[in-house]
Amino acid sequence: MTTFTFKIQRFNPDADKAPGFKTYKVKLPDGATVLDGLIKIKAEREGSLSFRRSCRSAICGSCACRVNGKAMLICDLQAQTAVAEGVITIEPLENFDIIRDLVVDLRPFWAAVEKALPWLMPGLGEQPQKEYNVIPNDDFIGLGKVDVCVLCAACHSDCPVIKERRDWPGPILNIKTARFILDARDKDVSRATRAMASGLDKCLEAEQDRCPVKCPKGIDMAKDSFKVVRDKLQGRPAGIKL
Amino acid sequence: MFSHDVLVVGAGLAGMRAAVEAAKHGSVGLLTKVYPTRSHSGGAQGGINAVLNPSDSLESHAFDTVKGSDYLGDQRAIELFVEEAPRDIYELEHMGANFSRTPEGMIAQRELGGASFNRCCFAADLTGHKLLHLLYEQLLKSNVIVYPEWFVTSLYINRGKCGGLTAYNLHDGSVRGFHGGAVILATGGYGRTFARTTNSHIVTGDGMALALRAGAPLCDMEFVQFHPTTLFGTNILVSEAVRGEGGHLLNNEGKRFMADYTPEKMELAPRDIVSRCIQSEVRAGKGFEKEYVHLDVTHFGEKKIHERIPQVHELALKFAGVEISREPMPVQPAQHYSMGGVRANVDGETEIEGLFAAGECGCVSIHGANRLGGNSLMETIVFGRRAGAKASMFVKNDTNKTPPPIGLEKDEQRRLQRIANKRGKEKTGHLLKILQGAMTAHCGVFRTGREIKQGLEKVRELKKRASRIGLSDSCMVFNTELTAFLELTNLLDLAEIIAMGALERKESRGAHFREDFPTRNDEQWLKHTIARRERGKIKLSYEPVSITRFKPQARQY
Repeated sequence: MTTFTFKIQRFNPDADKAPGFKTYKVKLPDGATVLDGLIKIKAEREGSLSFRRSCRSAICGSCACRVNGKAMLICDLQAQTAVAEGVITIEPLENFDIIRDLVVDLRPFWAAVEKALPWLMPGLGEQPQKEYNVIPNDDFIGLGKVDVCVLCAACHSDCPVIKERRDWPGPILNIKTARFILDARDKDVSRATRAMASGLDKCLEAEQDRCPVKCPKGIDMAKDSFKVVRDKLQGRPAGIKL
Repeated sequence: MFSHDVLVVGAGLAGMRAAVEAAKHGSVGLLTKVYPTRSHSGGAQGGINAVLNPSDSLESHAFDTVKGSDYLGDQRAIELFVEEAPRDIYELEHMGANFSRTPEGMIAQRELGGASFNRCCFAADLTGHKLLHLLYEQLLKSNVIVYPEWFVTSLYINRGKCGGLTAYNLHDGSVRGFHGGAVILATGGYGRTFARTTNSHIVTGDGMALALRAGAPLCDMEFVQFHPTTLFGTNILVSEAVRGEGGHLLNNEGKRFMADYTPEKMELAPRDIVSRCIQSEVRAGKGFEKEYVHLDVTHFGEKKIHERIPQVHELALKFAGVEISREPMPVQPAQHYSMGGVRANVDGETEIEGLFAAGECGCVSIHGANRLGGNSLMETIVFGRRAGAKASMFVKNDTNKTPPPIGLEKDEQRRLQRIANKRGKEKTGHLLKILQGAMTAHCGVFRTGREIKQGLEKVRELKKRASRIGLSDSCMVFNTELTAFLELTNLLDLAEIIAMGALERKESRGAHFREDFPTRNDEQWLKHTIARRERGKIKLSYEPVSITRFKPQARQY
């Protein structure tokens, strides 16, 4: 057992004008995660502490927070590795309004997902009698890479472009657009131009190769998503090696 | 008061499939206590079963499922299930499901436990995740109205008919009534009743408990699936696909011990059997640290690991510190799935008019006493779709509608406010921990009458203590202390029924293994357990099993 100091940003909309930090000391066994720490604090000390969690195995995307300033999932983050200068500092995701404590209003993020029209075009016709033939080539592998997205919104939180311009839907638009560009079954040819019209140019103007967003599921923002979209715009086959 | 033709509770695969189907016929409101993509369906890894290969057969899928169920599955339902599964797979694939492919570009299929053919379609080991996101995208495309982060607190029943519900909106703290011509419950299982479980924190049997309180019977609740391979320490799932792809179970002598139990099927015997074998090895001192055995894939090579089981690789590394290409994983059985649920027919209809159930929340029953890997994802799609269609039809034909009374919202608001203001010495989190420990200890892989009885007494004691729980959070916005209390109440109600059913069933069948009655007893126990609540007390009764083609015989692998 090790004692950890959690410094957690709190906000109660009924009582607080602005968010503030509160510190908790908690004993955790070896290998315990930051999420385990929050659960223990809530169960034993502070019943009013609000945060989202579901799977505790990095597949549902509920628990993304900022830890020591960086957005990440807290369920697969060991408390031991999260200590910076003696404390674990936990804040809600950035670029969103706070509802309570670590819970933010994700509506702009979900709107960005929807903006990508994330479904196959033209869509279901008659009852299919057989599957499409999809050769497992480079595109198929690229699609597999972006398809692990868990919609945790960490990218939205750490995106420097959104911080400047809230009208840019965010990296998730690139990810979802790339996912369908790489899908041999999709017949929608205007995905890339639509993404551009939604403000992708703002992302491209930024120094894209130094995109600071670090996806918790390992999607490479430049290579796996926005370069796929850009290549499509420039008429190059998507998914080729960069 | 909100109003829709059909209300769906729960936005996992079954709920979303039901909602998308019902939206073809009318207005649909979908309530979920989280966001749809946070649902536990996303935790499924291995795959989804359907007969696609001409050399496979519907009869074989049906027989495997019946035998896997230890003959407690309803055969009429199973036959319909295997028949409709293939068209649903093709439909999912046309929606955009990104299934793994054969080199020729067709849907690849792998072997899972208890199957006599490679009939499990998969997307690496992220099948549930990918299907969940696919269905979410179909939901966005449809005109379903989603109410995310709304916690359903009660069903509205008037003269034996379900006409809506009440729900707590976490975002603003309000409590609202919903009028619905039909309500479909699709809230999944009750995994968090157990300390050792693969299930998400949110899996608290809410729909089953709602149905029980509304007067609908639950079925076969004592049949709890324990997945053989979960990571020691966290009980995070290690997919059956690992064994399907050729992973070996090893004891502390380095021996593939399954050879001693099921030499033909080896590691791919059904889950109930493999779980018992692992537990037996550990009991016999052939495990590690008296807790677990090894699951070994070091012979796969990195390419196969990254192509076929990338998620397991990631999870083992992050949560057990094991690089599976070089070392074996420490695994032990843990609660994984509830075969039982709200008694429903093949159209999702329950005993209460206008109330439907689908997916893990329901009990149709195609899984009987033990579910085969790959059958649950398929169940969510087949029976989610059917429930959505039937509920729409019911609403269309129902001429005598009674919307909830105006006072309903206010009453429920007051009730929840009273709970939030409760004073008392007990704490929700503490009692939850005791409950989970008791269920894992007393209603686990191996059971005896004496142990179950002790467990049942503990659960009943906890129910009393729960009335003395105090809550500290008075802010109704995102009050997760309140929802945790409501969830605990649900889990306690269900735990009592699980234990009662297990105590009463004096035989061993599928996942229910009684050391004091170690054999199956068809003469007395080839029947479903039905549990209902009457005047606050649980009453058990029994119902015959539907048997069509497959006469019960000894279950050997």
